[in-house]
Amino acid sequence: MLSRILLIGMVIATMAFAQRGRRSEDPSAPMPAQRDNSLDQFAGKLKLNKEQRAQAETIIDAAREAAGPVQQKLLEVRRYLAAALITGQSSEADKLTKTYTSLSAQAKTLEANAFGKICALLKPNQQSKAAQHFGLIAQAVEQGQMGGPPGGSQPGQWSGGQGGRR
Amino acid sequence: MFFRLLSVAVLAASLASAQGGGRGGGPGGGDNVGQGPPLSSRPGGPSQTRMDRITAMLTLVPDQSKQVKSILDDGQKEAAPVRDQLVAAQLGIAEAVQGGKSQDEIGKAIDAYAALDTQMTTIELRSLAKINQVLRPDQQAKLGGLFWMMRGIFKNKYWNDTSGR
Repeated sequence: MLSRILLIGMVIATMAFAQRGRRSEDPSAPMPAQRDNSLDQFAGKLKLNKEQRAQAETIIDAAREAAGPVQQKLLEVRRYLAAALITGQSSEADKLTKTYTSLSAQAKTLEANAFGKICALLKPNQQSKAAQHFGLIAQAVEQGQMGGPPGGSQPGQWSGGQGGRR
Repeated sequence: MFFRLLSVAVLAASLASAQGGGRGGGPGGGDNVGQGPPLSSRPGGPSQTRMDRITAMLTLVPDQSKQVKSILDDGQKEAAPVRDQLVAAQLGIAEAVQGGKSQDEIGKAIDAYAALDTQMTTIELRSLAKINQVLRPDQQAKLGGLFWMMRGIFKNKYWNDTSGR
């Protein structure tokens, strides 16, 4: 049992180390311009005017800040879950998936709240197209913390991001 | 048990050094450009498939490549219905929010999404664990790059598209 715990600890420790290295050095880490990509796409698809775009950005920024700790926890749980599956700790993996689901719901709630606020800014003709592009808002929130898929999500895809969530 | 301990120790140690080099993948969808070997060693540039990148990153021999591809193909099959449900669940949340549904109804839509999200994550990480089993200890040391690459790997119709993303 001690050996198993040691194994998991080592895997997790190194994945954590790996993350620190990546964040500081990885050239694929999102730059601010990339982070805005999803919001730009959303703005383009719904033809937001300047004022709407600025207000949406403020909403996204606030949501990013609120979502940060949850996304960090999601990433951490993902690392633990990977370690548990690699080392065959099925009961630990079961616990972690429950935690992951709870965190995923928390993060999605923040994204949904941001989406609701942005919808309130829209004109009726814009609102009709908003739901199908929720993924872009979700991604914009996620990218502020953990990066997101290059090129942004497409209609018909769910959003990426959150160090493990999509 | 000793060998298992040894292999994970090697994996852990080399995860750190490999990622410290700054070319590990990122959590940005699990498929950012920084996941594979240095650009100079990437044959074929943008037309490289994801499998090409995994093969190069883990220095797989042909038989291992075949096994890894098979694991990821199986993962894709398992993930396909979940992927479709995730798209629908996300749309369901958006419509509930936009339609002014009650918090309870929105919460249910979010919970449904979160359950699917967890299912997809589990499929991704189970595939990672299966791949780990076919690697030698020196290759397991490079698993950190693949850990990042796995996120969102099944989000498109086929994981091994020619874009290599």
